[in-house]
Amino acid sequence: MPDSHTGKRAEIADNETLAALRDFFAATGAADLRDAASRIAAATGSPLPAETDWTTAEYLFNRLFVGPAAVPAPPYASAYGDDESLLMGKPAQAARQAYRSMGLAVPRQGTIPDDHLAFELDAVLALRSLAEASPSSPAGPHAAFITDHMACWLPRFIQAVRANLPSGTAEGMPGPPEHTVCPVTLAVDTLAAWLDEETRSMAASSPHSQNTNSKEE
Amino acid sequence: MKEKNSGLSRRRFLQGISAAGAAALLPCRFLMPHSAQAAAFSEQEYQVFRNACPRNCYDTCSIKTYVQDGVVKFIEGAQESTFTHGGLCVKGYAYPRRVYSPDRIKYPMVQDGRRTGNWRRVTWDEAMDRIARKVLELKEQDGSLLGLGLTKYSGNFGITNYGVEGMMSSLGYTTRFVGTPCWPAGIDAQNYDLGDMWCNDPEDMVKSRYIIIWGANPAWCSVHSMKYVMEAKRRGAKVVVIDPVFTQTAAKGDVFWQPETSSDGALALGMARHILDAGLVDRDFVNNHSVGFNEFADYLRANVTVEWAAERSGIPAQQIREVAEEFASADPATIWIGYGMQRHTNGGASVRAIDALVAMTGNVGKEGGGARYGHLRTWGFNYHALLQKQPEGAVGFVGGGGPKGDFDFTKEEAAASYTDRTVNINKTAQAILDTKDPAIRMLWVSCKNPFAQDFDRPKLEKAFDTLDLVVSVEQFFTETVSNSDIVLPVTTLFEEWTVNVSYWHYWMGLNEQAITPMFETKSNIEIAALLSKKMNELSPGSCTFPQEIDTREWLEKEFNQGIYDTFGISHWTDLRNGPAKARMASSASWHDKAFGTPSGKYEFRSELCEQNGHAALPVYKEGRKPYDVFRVLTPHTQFGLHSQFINLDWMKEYNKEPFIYMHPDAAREKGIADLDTVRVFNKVGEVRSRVKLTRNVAKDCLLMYEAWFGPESTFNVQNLVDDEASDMGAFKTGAPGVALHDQFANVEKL
Ligand code: SF4
Repeated sequence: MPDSHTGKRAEIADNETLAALRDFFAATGAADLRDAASRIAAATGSPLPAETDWTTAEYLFNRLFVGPAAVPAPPYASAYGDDESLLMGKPAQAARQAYRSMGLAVPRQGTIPDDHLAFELDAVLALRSLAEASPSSPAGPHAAFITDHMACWLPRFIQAVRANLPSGTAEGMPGPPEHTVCPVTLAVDTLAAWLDEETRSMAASSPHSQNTNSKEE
Repeated sequence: MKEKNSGLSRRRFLQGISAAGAAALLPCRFLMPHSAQAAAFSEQEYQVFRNACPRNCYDTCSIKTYVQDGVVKFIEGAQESTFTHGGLCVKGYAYPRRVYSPDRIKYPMVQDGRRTGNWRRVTWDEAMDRIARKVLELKEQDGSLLGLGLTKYSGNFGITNYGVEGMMSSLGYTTRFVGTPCWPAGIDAQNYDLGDMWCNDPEDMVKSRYIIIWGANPAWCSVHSMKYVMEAKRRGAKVVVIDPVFTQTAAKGDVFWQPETSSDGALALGMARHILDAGLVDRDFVNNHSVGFNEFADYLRANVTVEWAAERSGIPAQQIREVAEEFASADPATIWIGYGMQRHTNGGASVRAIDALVAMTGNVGKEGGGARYGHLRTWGFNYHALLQKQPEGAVGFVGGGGPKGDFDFTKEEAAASYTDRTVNINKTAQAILDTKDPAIRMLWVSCKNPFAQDFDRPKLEKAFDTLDLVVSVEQFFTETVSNSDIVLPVTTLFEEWTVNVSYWHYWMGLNEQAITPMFETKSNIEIAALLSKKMNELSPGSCTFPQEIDTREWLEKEFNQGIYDTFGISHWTDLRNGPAKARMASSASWHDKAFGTPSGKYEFRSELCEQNGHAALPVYKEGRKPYDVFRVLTPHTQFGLHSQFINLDWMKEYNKEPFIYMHPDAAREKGIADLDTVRVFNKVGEVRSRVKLTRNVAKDCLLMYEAWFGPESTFNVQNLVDDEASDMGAFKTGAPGVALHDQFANVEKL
């Protein structure tokens, strides 16, 4: 990810990127997508073409993540479990426990699975905030949640998204493909870069970290 | 790496988090402070709930559901029911894979152009607004709501789901697709012969000395009944299986007959003639408890011979004689009449011939005997959800009336000036195309997948294209949803309150809400309440359905003293301890020989039947003339119920692709080898698939299992099935059945 090395400025930008990613994957329609994708674009310096058709983006987003047809890239950790490709599996329970230890829970627990990507990114922001409040344990829960949990499924999720994106970067998007960026591509590339960066820096700072997944993509 | 996929270690995670009280200050958009202590939940503890499989399956299993921290962990069959006996079928065991499938329909959505796949999420309020406005527009333009059609069948048999029909009534008089694709010809036949469809308790099959399973495949479709068949066999009973296909049930029988498809009537009459000649008729029964036997005997002597039956059916005369004699001599002996054998243009006539065979041997009204077809004796609920009143001033159809299907529990109000308009559910496509003044312009689909189940799919697509608005209420993305404008996500059995009974056994099972409804799913009656709210917001008084409902209360409203007495419980909450069985004087239907016919006796000769346009006697009726080279059979598959379950991962593991099953000799003549891709085609349409060669099917037959769906497949057997009617069904169910096994096609290698 560009420009996210050290310093307060980069940190803020990174939090904003995360929050924008979270909001992107929680989007319920074109307006949400436009808002979140614009924020991702601003934070990462990859502007989206002005002529982006947000309704088309919404169709694609729903085809990949929401439905009503069978979704090729469900944004839930449990869908990538090894024993059961079902929602509400062990990864969802793990996410629930993680939130509980922070004194948090998903709204209306039991409706949207706890391991929805947007909830997990929300949790990462919370963990960052907690880590800032007690800097003595920088590689504690934050690292665990990312390396032991998110890094286990996100590479497969990212791969599933990429494999099911329309061919070219922006099929269905107006304008010549080489000049346009599909919002889903932007979001998933940003997510991949963030995960890569996080796992790399954690591996560097903690020799005990069980970082085995960052090479998957 | 794989092992620790879900391995977020709690110990590691908990380290360093001590400021839980500060949760409210964290920069979260979604996650909220969690008030309950994490420790309050014990990982060892399960909550147990009662559920009941609502899948229109003979077995209607009672289920025990184990829930941990709000998540269904596993399920099993209830041990308390001797019928379910602690087990489920594969479909049943797959239920957790349904509720937690990533492919579930999760939100109300609208499609911008049918079959485009361009879907947008909408709120429930937006969905209801669009629906309600269309309803009001129809009313405004037509002066009635007859332009609004409902097609619903048995996809969810929970009693409260009759609230879908209730919702329609609460809007006004609408157009209803009535009848049943399932069993109507046989229902009428049994009503003519016996005065009702009423079968023995299947558990009493253990007492049978001779069992003929005629056109049914319980090893696949009623797995729990098989234990009674097998126990009877262990005790010495002979089991004869009659089927055009060598099924798994056939493999377990002592005798297998593979007759010409739809020659069942001839076969039964040939057996009857031999029983008559051999002097094995039960004289006490025919003299004291029946009418018209002598005329039937005269008919047999004048028109039927065993050789004739052998020639029609392809079963050797000697075998017909042997089985007929054994059947007539065994005491008791029973015939299980499957639904497949009446899905013919002569299906009702065939069932009447088989009923006659059971009656003339004195096996009606006997424990361990009986002509077993089905029953609705335990269905005495209040139908509170169903029985909603039309709004004041609603205008409807004049001159209607009559039954609205096999499960019609409404009692038509005397002298109601208007009724719903009824059209034939087995001709859905044609009815949509033909109905005028007003035309059907809006269709509500629930508990049904017409594109998988209704006949003549090419015509159905054309018909759907004439509609202004199609609303589907579904759990998964089917071809019907693809042909809809709006889809509404509906709850699974674990997410709603209801109660289920069977049309085969005599148990009743409670269905509790075991988990919070996931995503934005709602039950059918909650959807009705939402629509009512919106209707009344836009046009006060336009819908009578209650706008706020508690589904648990609505379950309670279905019970009455009669039901409690029938099942020997004092309150529905007793069912939390396990399913209850109806208390019966005898396990035999018609045990007191007080038949429901006009004469009060078994009617070999039925004037009612004659009045309704058929022969008075159970005479032979010719089947449908072949209109192409091969007969096409499209029975149910093993691990699905129509299209339900077919899309789950477990099922796909077994059935990776659909196949066309063909006899090797026929294939050789066509130059087709095993696993070749072929095209099967007829006047309706075509199906492409790979072939599997098997001697389980007859040489003149192409078999393909009914349902298959998924993004990777366009396979649909309804491309080969026209909407030809069966002979009977209109009397008791409002419309004749469909001759879906009287279909023909040709095949070529691609
Ligand atoms: S499909 Fe039939 S056998 Fe299977 S669980 Fe449901 S009721 Fe029981």
